[in-house]
Amino acid sequence: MEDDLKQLIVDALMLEDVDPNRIDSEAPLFGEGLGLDSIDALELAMALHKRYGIRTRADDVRAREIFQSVRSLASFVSAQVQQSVH
Amino acid sequence: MGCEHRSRPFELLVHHGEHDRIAFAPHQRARTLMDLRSHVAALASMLPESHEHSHALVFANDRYAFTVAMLAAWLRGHAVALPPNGQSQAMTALRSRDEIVAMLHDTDQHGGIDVRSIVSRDVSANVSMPLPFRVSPQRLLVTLFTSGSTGEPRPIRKHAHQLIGEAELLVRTFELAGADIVATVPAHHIYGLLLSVLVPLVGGGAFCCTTPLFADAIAESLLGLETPVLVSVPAHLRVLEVLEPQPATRGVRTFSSGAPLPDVVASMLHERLRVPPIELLGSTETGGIAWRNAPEMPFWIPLPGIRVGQDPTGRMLLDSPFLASTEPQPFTCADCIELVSSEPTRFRHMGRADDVVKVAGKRVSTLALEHRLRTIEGIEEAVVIALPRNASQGDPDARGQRLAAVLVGRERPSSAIRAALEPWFDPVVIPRMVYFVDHLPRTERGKLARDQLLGILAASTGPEKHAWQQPASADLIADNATWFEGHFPHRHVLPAIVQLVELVLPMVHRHWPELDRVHRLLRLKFIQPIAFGEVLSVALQRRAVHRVGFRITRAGETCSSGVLEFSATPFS
Repeated sequence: MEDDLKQLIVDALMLEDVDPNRIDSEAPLFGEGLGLDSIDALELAMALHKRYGIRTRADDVRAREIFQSVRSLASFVSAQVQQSVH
Repeated sequence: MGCEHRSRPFELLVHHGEHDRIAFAPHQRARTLMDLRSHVAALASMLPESHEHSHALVFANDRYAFTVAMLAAWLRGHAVALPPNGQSQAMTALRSRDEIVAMLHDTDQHGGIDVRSIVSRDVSANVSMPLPFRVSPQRLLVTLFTSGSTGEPRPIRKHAHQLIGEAELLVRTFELAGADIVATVPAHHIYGLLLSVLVPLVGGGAFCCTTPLFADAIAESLLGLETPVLVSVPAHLRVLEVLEPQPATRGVRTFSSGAPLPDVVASMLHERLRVPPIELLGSTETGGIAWRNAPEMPFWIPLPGIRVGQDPTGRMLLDSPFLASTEPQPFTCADCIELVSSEPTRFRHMGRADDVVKVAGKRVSTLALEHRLRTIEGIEEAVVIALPRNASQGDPDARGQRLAAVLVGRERPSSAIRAALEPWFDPVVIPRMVYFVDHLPRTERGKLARDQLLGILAASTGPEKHAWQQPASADLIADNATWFEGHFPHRHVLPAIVQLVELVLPMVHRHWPELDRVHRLLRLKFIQPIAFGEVLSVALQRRAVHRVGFRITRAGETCSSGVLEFSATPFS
């Protein structure tokens, strides 16, 4: 899941100079780390919706937690996908 | 209409009853006019006395806190100074200006007065802002600081006839009296200030205190509003696509500004919300200029009382009551237009002719970015260019334009360069791509060769430079008759497959002999047909060990582009 998300991040945000394998799962996605911004967060939410059919259903504070790192994003996506299966 | 000659004062807050709400937010108690009057008076009493030109610097994320701070400054006789963003250095630089006598904010970062300590107080009947609140048309109300070309923030002064006059016009033209406004844009830029703060203050409506960004947060803020209006920009609006049809968003009137709203987004909004979105065209310097309902109504229509013409070079000539009275009328704008008809006036907007670019609806001066880049130790030369938006993309890029910084000097990771800009600029406008080159391409006369730079960049990649990552480019003429044979009878158009096989692949193999067969084609775009005899430029850039990006351009305009993935990678 984490690897899929890394590829999704690179593709959705057109981060052409980033090798997905070199994204640290625990590094912050925003600010320092990958240096993403608010527009990237929106784009990423949209890409997650298209790919996994899930919505972050988040207010902006919750979204910040979800998008903290690849790891936090992966656990959110896994939980959502499971929920929709059951 | 002659609003600039009006002498009657404007009156604010005359359409609200004492218990009418003026600010709301999900999970929060609404604020009424009574709350607002009490908080404004309390804060005003804490401010120093005003003198000519004195300003209070205001930055608040919460729109109610912002409004209280703005009105308190006005009540005390100050004008309000608005920063280009809330980044630390941008604020510090403004604070040291002579005219700033107070700083009002709702953040943990700055000194000055934290407005949260006021707006969290219970309402006191003892202090109340006197109403109606009158302002004379010539009074200076707000100075907006934008990213100026010298690196210093540039002040743009707004008097009451400009700001309040325009808010009243917007209320009349778009029937915004009593509207409940939710904005995804901040109050400290002209568009958010007018639509989400001043329109409710003069029109008797209310605004949402928070600035929701995610689709669900927006829907939650709109839920249950009687006359919902959403004030936003294309980059935020396009994500509403993820919402299922729901009562919260039905009948919402949407305003979009800052960048052209792509047709697909406009149609999606019309279908979801059942109301066509309204696009506004304007700028910090000029205020609002025109509106349209794309895609049904693709041409811009001047707002009532505004006249738009075109000078011989294509620049917009503007007659508007919302220009500063010191400006000549007509005023030559930085915008280029194409007049489609003059009776009635309809026009196309062709972009700006100066150094100001919009990234996701936020403005920034490329000269200001360059100036700041050159102050980084070890950076000798810096150029910031906007990569053109790819019109053929079905899914529009949310940013509209992407910025790239091309630097000469001591190399360091792009993250370090971005970090050096971060205290000064909104994160959204900081160049996404940072490249180091040995020298900037220049014309014989020493001017920057922009086309050449664009050609290299467009097919280019990351900050690290390895021998195998050196870009390649070549100019050629599409004059080989065999290329045009058989594919399109009667039409001399260079087929896509020929572009790849005859133009791109031989060059790839000359430049990187180690690459073998093409394994996959990615992101191929054939945007403009290529005719026989045209002069073309082919640029290649190795994007990864096994990937090569290509771009074929004609006079700087992209004809086709894509990425080729090769099967053999002899080294890694």
